[in-house]
Amino acid sequence: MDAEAAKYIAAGIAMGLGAIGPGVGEGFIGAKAMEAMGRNPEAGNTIFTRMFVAMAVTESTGIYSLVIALLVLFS
Amino acid sequence: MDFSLAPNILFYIYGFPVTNSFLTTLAIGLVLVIALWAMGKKMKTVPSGFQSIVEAVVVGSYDFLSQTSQSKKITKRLFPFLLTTLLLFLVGNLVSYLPGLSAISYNNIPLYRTATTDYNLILIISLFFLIIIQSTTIVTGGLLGYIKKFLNFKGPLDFVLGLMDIIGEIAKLVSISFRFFGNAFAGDVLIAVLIFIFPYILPLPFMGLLLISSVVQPAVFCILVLIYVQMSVVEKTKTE
Repeated sequence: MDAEAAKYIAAGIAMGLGAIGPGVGEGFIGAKAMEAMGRNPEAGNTIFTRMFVAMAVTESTGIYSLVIALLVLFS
Repeated sequence: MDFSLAPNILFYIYGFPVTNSFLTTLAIGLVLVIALWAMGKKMKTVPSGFQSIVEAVVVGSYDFLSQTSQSKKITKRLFPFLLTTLLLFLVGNLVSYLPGLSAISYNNIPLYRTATTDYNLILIISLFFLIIIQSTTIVTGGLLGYIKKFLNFKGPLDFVLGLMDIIGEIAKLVSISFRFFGNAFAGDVLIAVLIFIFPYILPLPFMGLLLISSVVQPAVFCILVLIYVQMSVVEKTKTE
């Protein structure tokens, strides 16, 4: 296996494994936010903005692995 | 297809490398300053046209930010910086949806590169906010309290936790800058790859998704900065 092939495999593994955590986490956040909005529709707006912030924070580990994958691929 | 994390250098001015993303950032900044300055010169009590759009953006983002933060005072003080960053990042993200920009080139290097796909810009702005966060801690808690936060000699566990706080401050910088950069750069790469696979049709739904993310990410950046500044305020009752 030459270095170029190893690069592509490494980027794929990094991205694939890194996407598991944020996927599960964002699913939880979305589900809980929907539940909260269903119980208390008046608070929907604030819950929605907070949901977005929480999702962006949860997403960060996925983004780190994405940056690593891009670094492996393009540098 | 060739992507590079570093922007392409167009030419040098006395040894200063001028890159394409730097030019784009300058152009966006100039357009924003001139447009808003011209609007500010002839403001009306009853807004119309461009002024009403700007007012909607300013008031909307202020409401959005003050909703997520508990302290009105901090929001009001930090708002000018946050709105400037928000506008720069938002316009920088959205300009990439104008068609035909990447066709313009100089010495076979495209003159346009999305401003936010250059890590230098995001790192500088994140560093600026990191300095604001640190100085907030110093101003509200005193310089001694600031040093005590990191060098704590009460016990072995406190000492290690204090050292971990130093890593925590650097992690803030890495996390907010990488999050934004990763989103912007990955969006550009994704669209380019999809255009290569199936032109015209396949990229369309993804472009719609990226349109959402390119509006949400600058807002999230500002909210996180606001939350970090709020967390860094040392309460008076704690220190006494």
